[in-house]
Amino acid sequence: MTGFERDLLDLLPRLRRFARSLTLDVADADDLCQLALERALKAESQWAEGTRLDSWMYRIIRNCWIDELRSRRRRGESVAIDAAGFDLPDAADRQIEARIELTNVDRAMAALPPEQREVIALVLVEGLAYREAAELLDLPMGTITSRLVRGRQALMDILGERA
Amino acid sequence: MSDEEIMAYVDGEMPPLERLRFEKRLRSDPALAESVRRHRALADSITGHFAPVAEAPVPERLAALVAQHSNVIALPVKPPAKKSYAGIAAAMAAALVAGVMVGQQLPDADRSPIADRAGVLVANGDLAEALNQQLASSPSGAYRIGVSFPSGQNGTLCRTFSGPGGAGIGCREAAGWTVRRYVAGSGSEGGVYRQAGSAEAAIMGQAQDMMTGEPLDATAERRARDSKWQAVGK
Repeated sequence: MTGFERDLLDLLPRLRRFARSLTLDVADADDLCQLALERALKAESQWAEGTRLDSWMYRIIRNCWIDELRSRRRRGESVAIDAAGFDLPDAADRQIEARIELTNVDRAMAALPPEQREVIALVLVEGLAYREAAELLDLPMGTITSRLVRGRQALMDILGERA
Repeated sequence: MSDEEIMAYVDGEMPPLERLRFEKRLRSDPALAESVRRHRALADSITGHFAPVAEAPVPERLAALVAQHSNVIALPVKPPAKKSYAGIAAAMAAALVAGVMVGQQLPDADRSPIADRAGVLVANGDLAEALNQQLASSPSGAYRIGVSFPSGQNGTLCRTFSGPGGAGIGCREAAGWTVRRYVAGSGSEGGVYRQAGSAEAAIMGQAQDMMTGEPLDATAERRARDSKWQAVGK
């Protein structure tokens, strides 16, 4: 087994956790991981050795997830993706998750627009520094912090952590 | 204090000096302390909710996806700048990991099907002969040729082959037929390698990924052989 593959195997538990926090569904999360792994194994030559494999993989997972949300939207399922980008907050995709029995935290996460959910997932679930999340998502720091503030606010409202 | 500052404090993102000031204020401001508590509680419940996913065993199908991929070895395409024994050792180690016979055969450069030439693994002996002469339509000898196809920007011609040890892809370059991929086959070492026919299947998949043009039909294959496997250009 190559070093690249060994490192991928080591990363798998964290990648599954990240995928779960994006999809909020056990089966969807592992399907997403599978898709991302296939993409990564094919694109191994594009990974610059010496750079962080975890960030590279998070990015692939995140991109696969956006593709999935887009195609769900094309299929007529309501998902909060705007054609112009990923920016317009619209939590319509909560309806997808509403079909499933969700815990409170899952439900709260599901209510976030995808672009807030991914920042919450990277920082609170995966423990990335703001700067790392900004680089990974190719966004300015200010955008990261404002999405974090809004995302947290919404989570607190739903989970009743706000007075 | 803004939500942004409270959040930065809770996330450990506040610069040291600001942090000191913040903590000083925290001691005398119960409302601020309460906000910090709420932010912490939220962060903890989100982190804690997903943490078990990373503790759980990884499903077999995901681990296998990565592990099985390694049955196919990508041998170095470019020769090292100078003869590097470390490079050769690495290639040998990679070969051995997948149970390929190549590793053991490397030292005996005259008789092994794959030889090391200055750090590049090149087809040798019968294998080189098969790659040079044999057509897919007329198998003979120990090796069978599968598909021939152009690869890379220069349209370098590559051919898949299978033989007693496994299956692989050789590409015609200045040094000869460099072996770009090799997968251990079945039948060797008392059934240790159970991938059986999957070696050829894996190699066909790899060939598809490497193709930069249509695979050669019988006529084109013959013509390519007669012109000594010159790259087809692009």
